[in-house]
Amino acid sequence: MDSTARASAQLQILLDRLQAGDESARAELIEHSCERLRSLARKMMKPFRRLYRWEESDDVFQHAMLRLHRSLENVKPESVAQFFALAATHIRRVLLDMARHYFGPEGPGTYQHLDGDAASDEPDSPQKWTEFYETLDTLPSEERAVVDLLWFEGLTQAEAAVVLETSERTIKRRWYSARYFLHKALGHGQ
Amino acid sequence: MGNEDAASEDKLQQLVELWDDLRKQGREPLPEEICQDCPELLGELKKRIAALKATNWLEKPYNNNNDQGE
Repeated sequence: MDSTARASAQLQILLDRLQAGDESARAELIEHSCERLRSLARKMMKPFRRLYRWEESDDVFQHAMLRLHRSLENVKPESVAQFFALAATHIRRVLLDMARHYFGPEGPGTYQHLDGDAASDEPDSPQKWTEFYETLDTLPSEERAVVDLLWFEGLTQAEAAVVLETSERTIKRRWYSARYFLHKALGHGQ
Repeated sequence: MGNEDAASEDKLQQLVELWDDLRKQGREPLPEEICQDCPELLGELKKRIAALKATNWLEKPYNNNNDQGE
């Protein structure tokens, strides 16, 4: 068993305890995946580097973990993939709240961006990253899980297939589907 | 989704996969080349290929993508 599969198996035991009503598993889950979640928060904050003027990535992490801990009272993820998808959603929402606060119409960080490469959908300003993150939240859950694993976490398609307990081919198809969805939702490909 | 729609969607996904595999091997085929036996799917295939090209930046994992200027 490789390290990805081993870590997933350990987390699955905690998720099973949570499913069985063991509330102490909530804190243990966060503690057990703390480094991976902290790294995820750091990575997710990078496009918002202008936020560093006001916020530290640890603040984002702490806010998101509080929300995650609270939400685990009501939401009981059945799988490791669902747990990380939930964590990524909370991190994204904390970042969006901060981005709206600082870069919104009244925010101190509002600025005009320069147009980037017209052929690419890559966001080139905090506002566009905000829009991109909001759009990610509207992806169907299966596609969003694939984006979280391949793009945010840098897993290979083979590793993502292990985590999501499906075939590489399915991962590949969900990946294409997610990118098509994002392209259309961001106002392109009409 | 009807049977016909599902079959078309499945075929489209196969074509997208083929296009992407060939592109990764360094030979980017024209949509017309790989859609010869199903011209009715050409328009939709072009849209999906355009989406893949526009989101090609997602192929680089997040931490590699955003390291500039750190």
